[in-house]
Amino acid sequence: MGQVDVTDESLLARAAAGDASALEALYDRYAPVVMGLALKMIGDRAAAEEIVQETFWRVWRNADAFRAQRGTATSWLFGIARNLIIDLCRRRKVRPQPAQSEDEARRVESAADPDSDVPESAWTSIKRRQVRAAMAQLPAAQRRVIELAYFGGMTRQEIAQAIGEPLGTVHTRARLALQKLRESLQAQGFED
Amino acid sequence: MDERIEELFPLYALGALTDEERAQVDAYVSVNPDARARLAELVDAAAAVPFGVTPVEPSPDVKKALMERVQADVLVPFAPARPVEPSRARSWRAALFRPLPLLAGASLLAAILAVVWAISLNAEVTRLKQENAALTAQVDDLEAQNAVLQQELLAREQVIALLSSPGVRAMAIAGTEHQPGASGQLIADPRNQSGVLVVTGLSTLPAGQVYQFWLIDEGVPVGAGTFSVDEQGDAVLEVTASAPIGSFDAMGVSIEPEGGSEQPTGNIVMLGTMS
Repeated sequence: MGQVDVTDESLLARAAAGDASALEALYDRYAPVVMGLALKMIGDRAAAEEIVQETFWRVWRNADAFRAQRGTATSWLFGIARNLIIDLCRRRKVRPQPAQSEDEARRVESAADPDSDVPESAWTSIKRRQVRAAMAQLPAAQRRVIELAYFGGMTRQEIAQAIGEPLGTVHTRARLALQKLRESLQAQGFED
Repeated sequence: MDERIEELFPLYALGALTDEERAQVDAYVSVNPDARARLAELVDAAAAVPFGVTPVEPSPDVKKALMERVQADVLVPFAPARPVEPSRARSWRAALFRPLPLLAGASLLAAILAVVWAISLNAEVTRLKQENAALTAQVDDLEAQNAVLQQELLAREQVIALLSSPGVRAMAIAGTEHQPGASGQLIADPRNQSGVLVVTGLSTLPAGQVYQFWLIDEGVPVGAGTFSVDEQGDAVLEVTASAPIGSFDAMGVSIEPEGGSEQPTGNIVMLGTMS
């Protein structure tokens, strides 16, 4: 059952108090996003599913460590997932895959789970369209910096080397990209 | 506003900084609430990025395995922060369902009703405990925020001035075998006698004990301040040394009685060099 009206923060507070159903609600809400992120960066379905399970296990065990003043619940949750993905890539001595195409990602997707939560899927679908629209509005050079940093797991020095520009240019493009992304999402009514 | 550090904010939000650079940003925002708010805006914008990826349903087995793991966790009395006491609840139920002597007629009915009532009461108690835990967590959070703000007011100007110094460096300090998960940085200009120690991953200590930071010169430790960590194991300590930081060879953190010691007496939990 969908619980879109229940905030992520209240679900985290309930999970911190030992309420497993709150974790399940968070899983239903965000597991497909985490899975999509892991697949995009790793390209390996089995490993991506391990990342999903470990991400939500850590959410369960560390929910009481979440602090709203440091960012939203999704920035915390996706940060856990992204760190796990980058750690896995380092252990495997491979680079995350920032440029994997959507076609490639779709090839490793399975048919949708028939028990998947329809209201939650519609909710994430709206967010996906909003973020894609906002990303599409960015100049290609700024979008590239976001992709190399977020999905490619590169440091700023590595990004500068990859695009053949000085560090200052990387800083400027990243700042402009995030500012534009934020403004565009706000204009579309995107909710964190 | 320190532009040299704030220009790192977008790359911090995108996870593209080294550990050393992250520590510098963490130290800066820990004493600058306005900067922390500016950083949070970028962090939240970056957090939207994964929503643009095509979502994929994991196999149902993933959720099943996760929830089995979680249920097993609920039944094990592990969690320091979890208020519900499942082991007690389980033994309570076990006691109720122990083989009973044969009861007849009204006695049996009364016993069944008592069990039903007790189960519903237990559920209510569990619910109230969960609500209480959530409220307690909120109060703790507000108290922690207040403490942080008080500390920030005292330390902000001095730390910002330090971090703005062109000669500032971050020197790594790591956990020993006693606390291998600990890590941190001493951020200082080696030519000066002051700096900021930022640590994370240390255990909280029982009442009456503190962590003490030592600067070590040719094997001789000199006390440079005591500190406690928050519930996440984080702490920021303003360090004032008796000589320029760069004149010391090494640094360490030990566990000492409240008030600190003349020489380390407890376990050395972190060590690092000035190189």
